Amino acid sequence: MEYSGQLPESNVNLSKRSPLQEMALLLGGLTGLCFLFYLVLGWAVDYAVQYITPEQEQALYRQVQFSEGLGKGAAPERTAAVQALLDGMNECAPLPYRVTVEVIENGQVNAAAFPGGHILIFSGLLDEIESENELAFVLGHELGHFKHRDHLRGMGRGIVLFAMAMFLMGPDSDVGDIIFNTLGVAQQAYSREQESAADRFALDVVQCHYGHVGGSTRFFEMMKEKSETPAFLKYYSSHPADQKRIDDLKALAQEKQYQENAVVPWQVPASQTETGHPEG
Amino acid sequence: MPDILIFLVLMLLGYGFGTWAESRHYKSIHERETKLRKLPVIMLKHPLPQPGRLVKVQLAAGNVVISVDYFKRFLASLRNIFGGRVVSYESLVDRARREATLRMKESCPDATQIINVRLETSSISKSSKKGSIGSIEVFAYGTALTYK
Repeated sequence: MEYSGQLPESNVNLSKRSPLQEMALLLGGLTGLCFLFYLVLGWAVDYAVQYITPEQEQALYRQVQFSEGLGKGAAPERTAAVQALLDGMNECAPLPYRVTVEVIENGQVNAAAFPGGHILIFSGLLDEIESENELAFVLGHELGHFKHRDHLRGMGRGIVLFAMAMFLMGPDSDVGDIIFNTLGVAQQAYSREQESAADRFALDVVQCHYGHVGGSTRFFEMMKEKSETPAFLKYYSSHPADQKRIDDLKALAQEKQYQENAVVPWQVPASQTETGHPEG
Repeated sequence: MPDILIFLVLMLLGYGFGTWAESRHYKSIHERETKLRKLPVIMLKHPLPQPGRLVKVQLAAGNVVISVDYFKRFLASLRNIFGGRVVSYESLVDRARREATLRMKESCPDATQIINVRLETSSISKSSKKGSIGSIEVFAYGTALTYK
């Protein structure tokens, strides 16, 4: 037999499918699956949250130090002043546990509610506000998150997301990181609804505490002005959201016939802040 | 956000350069296979019947390491979740096997046939840790016989 040395006509070892097609198929499938998982587990968290008692919550989060890495330690006088205001508001926002507040030295204008009844206020926020009513609205907003148990939901969803990425991909993988980043955006949209619910709660609290809602929207007006400054960034700024929140609050105040009266000025140091406002 | 940008750039680089390198490599493989197709490479222990006198026996060996690109690796890690054929690695294995065989042939240009050929994957980068170099290594060797 003569050796002919013929080469095969086609390569059977290569699949015909193009890699881009394969990519689209796999990525699409994976994203869909993750989204479904996230939705279902998110609902499960929402359902489970109502069965977590405040005592369990306290026990779960007692050890956790949320302010770590956010600021340069507590500001005692300011913390005491804000805590006094918060305690005064307690009867307007009945919660089954005492909410504690901590002011941390951080230039950001922000405040956050953490599990275990803990509010963090960044000192940048205290520098920007003008009236006690404004601060009361911000505190009321955070109390609203506690009342609606959003803080647990936020944590729960975060854990769902994290667990999912770990489970699918193992602790250090590119795919996990990508999913994490992509779904983080969806979670922000989720909390926007909660924000407006907390706004409505805060308005009721302020009305109950001062007898009027003056100064409530000033915080958002200030945030709006701040975010408008760089004109070229306008498109990306959050001011339409701020404006919407102001409009919603004004509409709600009108609907409930809440009055806007003179505000109590906010002063630092805190000794004067407790004087001269009508309770209830 | 910067993470996603870096990722996208890496994916584009991986896809662009990976595709370019692969098509170049296949072109070269096709040319050299055509050129060397008259030299039989057989797995049998005994030579094919051959006229003439056996003048030289030598070890013929060729090996190659081919790396995976970022795009292919990402595609494979996606496959890792669902299971099925890892299409993106098929061309790597195919290229490595053919390139090693070609190099083995080229190492003995005057050979009449190469018998008892074996293919092995040697291993110089086998760690499964993140950041390790993903590559395929193929070693082809046999006995080159030269008849005059």
